[in-house]
Amino acid sequence: MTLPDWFLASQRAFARADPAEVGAGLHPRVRWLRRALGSLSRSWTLLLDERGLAARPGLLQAIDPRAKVLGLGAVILSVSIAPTVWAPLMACSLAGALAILSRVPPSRLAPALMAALFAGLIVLPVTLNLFAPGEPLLALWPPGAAGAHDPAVALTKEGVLLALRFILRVAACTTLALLLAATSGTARLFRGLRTLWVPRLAVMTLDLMVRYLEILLRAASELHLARISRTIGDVGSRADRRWVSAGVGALYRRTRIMAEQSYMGMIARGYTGEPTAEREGRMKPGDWLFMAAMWASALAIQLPR
Amino acid sequence: MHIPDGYLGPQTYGAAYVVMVPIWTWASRRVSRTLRLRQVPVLAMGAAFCFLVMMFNVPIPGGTTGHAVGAVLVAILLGPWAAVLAVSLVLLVQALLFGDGGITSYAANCLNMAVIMPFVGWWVFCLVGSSAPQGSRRRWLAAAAGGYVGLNAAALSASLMFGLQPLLAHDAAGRPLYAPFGLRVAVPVMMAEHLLLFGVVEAVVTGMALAFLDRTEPLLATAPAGESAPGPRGGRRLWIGLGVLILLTPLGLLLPWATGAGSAWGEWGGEELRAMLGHVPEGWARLSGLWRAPVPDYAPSGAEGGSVSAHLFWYLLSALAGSALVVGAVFAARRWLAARGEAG
Repeated sequence: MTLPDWFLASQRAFARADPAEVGAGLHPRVRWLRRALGSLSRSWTLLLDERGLAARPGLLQAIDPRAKVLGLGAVILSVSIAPTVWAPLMACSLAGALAILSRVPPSRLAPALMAALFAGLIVLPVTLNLFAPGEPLLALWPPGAAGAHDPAVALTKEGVLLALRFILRVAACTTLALLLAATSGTARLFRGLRTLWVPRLAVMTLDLMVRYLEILLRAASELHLARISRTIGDVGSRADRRWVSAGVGALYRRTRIMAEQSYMGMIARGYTGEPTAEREGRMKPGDWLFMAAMWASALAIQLPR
Repeated sequence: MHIPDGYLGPQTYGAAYVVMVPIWTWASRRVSRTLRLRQVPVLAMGAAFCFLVMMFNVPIPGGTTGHAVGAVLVAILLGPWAAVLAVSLVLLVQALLFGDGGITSYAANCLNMAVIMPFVGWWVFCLVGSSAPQGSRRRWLAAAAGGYVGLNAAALSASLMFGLQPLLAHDAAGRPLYAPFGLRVAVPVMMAEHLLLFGVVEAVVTGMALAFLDRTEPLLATAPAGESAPGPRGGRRLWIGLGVLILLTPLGLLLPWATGAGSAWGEWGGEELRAMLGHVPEGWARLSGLWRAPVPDYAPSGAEGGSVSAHLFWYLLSALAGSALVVGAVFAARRWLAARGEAG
């Protein structure tokens, strides 16, 4: 199923969360509600949009999810144990090539960029000789100390290498995981997890959870929208916290009612506790080829020492 | 608290998978016994609910906002074993679809947020509010305390995982291969924000959401049969566990003697400091005598230089007295809270 452009455009307008933009015309006390609404709308749009992306033509979209789970999983595992900076660099290049060949829009991979930026922020102090000794690479303080043998503050060669390896590893692993999900569609991806011995009951629960999530995310968005519509001034953070708790409670009540209705529906359709899942067919030669290529890449990543 | 890929080395994430596989197996057996045919829809809904709790921003005085994890609330409402599975499913969806948390670190995230957090929170909730009637203030306070302690226990576990990386995985020159900061940086940084900010958010959401449900939907605000607060058997197990721990305390004396380990780091006395530094720091000498403990070094004054068995006896007696004091304080606090709840 592909969502119409007019629908996605309206949801993206909702999901815009730039504080400067969303704050215009709103009381400062309501901005956090608007940001939360933006975040809920983004998650909802992403869940709905996922199926459309998985249905588009592209390299990874044509591969069986089982082959993708085993192939991309092997690359992620290989990057996570490799001690060199070349390993995550190679994996990042591979992920970039796969994203281009699968026509995955860069916005879908934005969480990987955020994870890498956050990792960079965390690891920043390690690049300075103030926190970890090393060979000076670039003198930062005192001014004009470039080329000095022992500057007070400098980027170190060892620190920069360590930070690069750390940031690239986070970026590579997150991008590969996002590619796996973005090009599979949730239902097929979860069935692909069966190759990793995930029990059938867990796969069925996951599938059901994502379907409910689509409904409940909408319900949570409506709760926020209703609150924004009814707030015209400062009500105080205590009242806001009460509203959040009541909202969480109301959602729980709704989830339990839906769970009971689903249970009755399942019983009515003859559910006896044994999950019945659509059987996946045999993997095609192309799937085996992709898996072999990914395993070869995982091994190649280990070669530079 | 979602640990992404690349922060933990294979020694840590591999061990986390080894620990989590039997926990997931046991949890699914236990939940299928208590929820039976309702297992799939209730767990799916519990997981979706937990996901949504994480998306509710809570305003905090000072203009900032934070979000709760909701694992303790789910443990109170569905039982701790159902919370293990529900939060594990949420973490899997977040890692795969939203890039929040890693694939290799998935089991480590589950250990922190799907096991340690709901169980510690659940135990605190049972300890403080197990006998409180539904709708009482003590029950809500117990839920808030459970949320606060549960989240901080999970944060402590995550910070220990981060802090151990430089020790567990480094190159030949000693440079860390994964999270680069040791325990001295990782634990205080992580715990400060959770103790002061996120723990409070978790406590507010857990306590107030339970209060809302107690008032509006009391039937939905209790865990299913078989997962409710521990009865006399659970209490007996707790006492047995405490007794075993008290009996094991002499190991704290025997092991350092057997291995020649000396005093714990930072717990040196004046003589030890003189031996190490050649002098006793002036400030230390001035401040160390400000307070004289009634039972210094877990033995009455005059017992120094006694036999090993005498030391062991006093150590065991101190463990008994200390435990009795702590248990007594908890019971007194519980009675006080119960009295306030009845008055309210």
